[in-house]
Amino acid sequence: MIEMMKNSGRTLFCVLLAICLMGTMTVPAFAAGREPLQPYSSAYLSNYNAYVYPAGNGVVQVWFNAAGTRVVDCLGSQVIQLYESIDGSSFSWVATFTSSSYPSMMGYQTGFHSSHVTYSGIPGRYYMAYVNIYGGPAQGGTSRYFWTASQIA
Amino acid sequence: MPRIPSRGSRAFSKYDAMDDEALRSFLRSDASKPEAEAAGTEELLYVMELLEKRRKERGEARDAQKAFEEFKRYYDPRNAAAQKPPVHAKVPAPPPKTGTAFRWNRKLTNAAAVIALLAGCTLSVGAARFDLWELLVKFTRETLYIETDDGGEPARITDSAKQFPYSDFPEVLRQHGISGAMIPTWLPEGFAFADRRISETPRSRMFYEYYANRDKSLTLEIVENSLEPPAYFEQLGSEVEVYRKNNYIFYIFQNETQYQAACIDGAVQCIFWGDLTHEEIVQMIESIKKV
Repeated sequence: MIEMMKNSGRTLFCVLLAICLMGTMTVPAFAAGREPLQPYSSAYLSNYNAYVYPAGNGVVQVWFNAAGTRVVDCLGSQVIQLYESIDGSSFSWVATFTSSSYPSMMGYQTGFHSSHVTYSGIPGRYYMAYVNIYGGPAQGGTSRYFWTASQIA
Repeated sequence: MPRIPSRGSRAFSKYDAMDDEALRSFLRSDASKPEAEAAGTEELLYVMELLEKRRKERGEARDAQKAFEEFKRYYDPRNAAAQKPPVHAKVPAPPPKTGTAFRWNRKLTNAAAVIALLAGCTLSVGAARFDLWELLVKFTRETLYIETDDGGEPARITDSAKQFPYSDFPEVLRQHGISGAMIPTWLPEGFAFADRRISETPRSRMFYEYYANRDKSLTLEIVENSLEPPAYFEQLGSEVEVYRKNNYIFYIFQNETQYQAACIDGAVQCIFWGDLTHEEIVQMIESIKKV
């Protein structure tokens, strides 16, 4: 009984924390910047990158490429978060794209996938993206997250 | 700013009397404890919140970048290089991929979320720099997201295998105006052409050739880009072998059971990887010709 209450408390705590995060639209601070941390290897992903491209008139596109170690079931991005800034130093969340809403973000039975998402931003503002790359089977593949550089729309 | 739930605050009040260094020491030592002996998430967060409260009371400013640096320095047990153990202490071995490390993944995620909250919801882009070989490393994390209605579009990908029924990679590159690409002219025995993909984005063109040998695979990738940042590479361990071929430097590294080799020559990158031995990938490099 005590163990159940303890587990419920932890679950409630996690939910509250999630709500706090979503409510304030914060981003995980640990992910800020391309830091040389511990290397990782993957049975599914080989290399990948992403960048923000200013397409003109405030429109920004987040492009990404993902190469698999071989042909894999799923390859692409599950989620891309876009952040906006007036001064180029403090960024706020403005949009999130997920592969469930935008199927073209994910490729299937392929060793390479490239795609992009588009956002109508404001000319003169800075944009950067937090990009997920996923490769592998539908469950249990490899996920990576990283930041792009910022670009002026 | 939202408050962190403090259900266990009373139980954790013992930490109130401890100084900052003792609290940080507690956080560090918790990382190496077995699951059964480790502190709970709430306890961990209580200590972190306490540290943050004290920092604010001292009037110290914090930005997200600094928070991240501190986070890595004090709380990430995997960042052994950033930690400075006492002279007599053994350098900690790389953590296993299961057990403690897994537990810490969850804790780190929660802890970093707290830091993000306390850091004032801002980010610094000062570290957004690109050095290919610094980018051989990654950081995996969970994240939260919110749906929006903006549209997504696929890249223009051409499956040109139909146009070029058998691999003549140099000819394909020439037809696309790519010059100066380095391509291996020797492939390990048994690999046969399987597929080709060409992709264009606003800042790059990528050419992929796939070869198969039963359940083994081999991929050649040529990337021509202008301003696009170099790729992140998956890499096993921290060693990158530098191999010189004429005036070119190839970097050889492992990704799980596969070997990869990469070389940048101006705006053109040559990368290949697959189920190869070290000898085979070296032999491929030795066979490189500029086309």
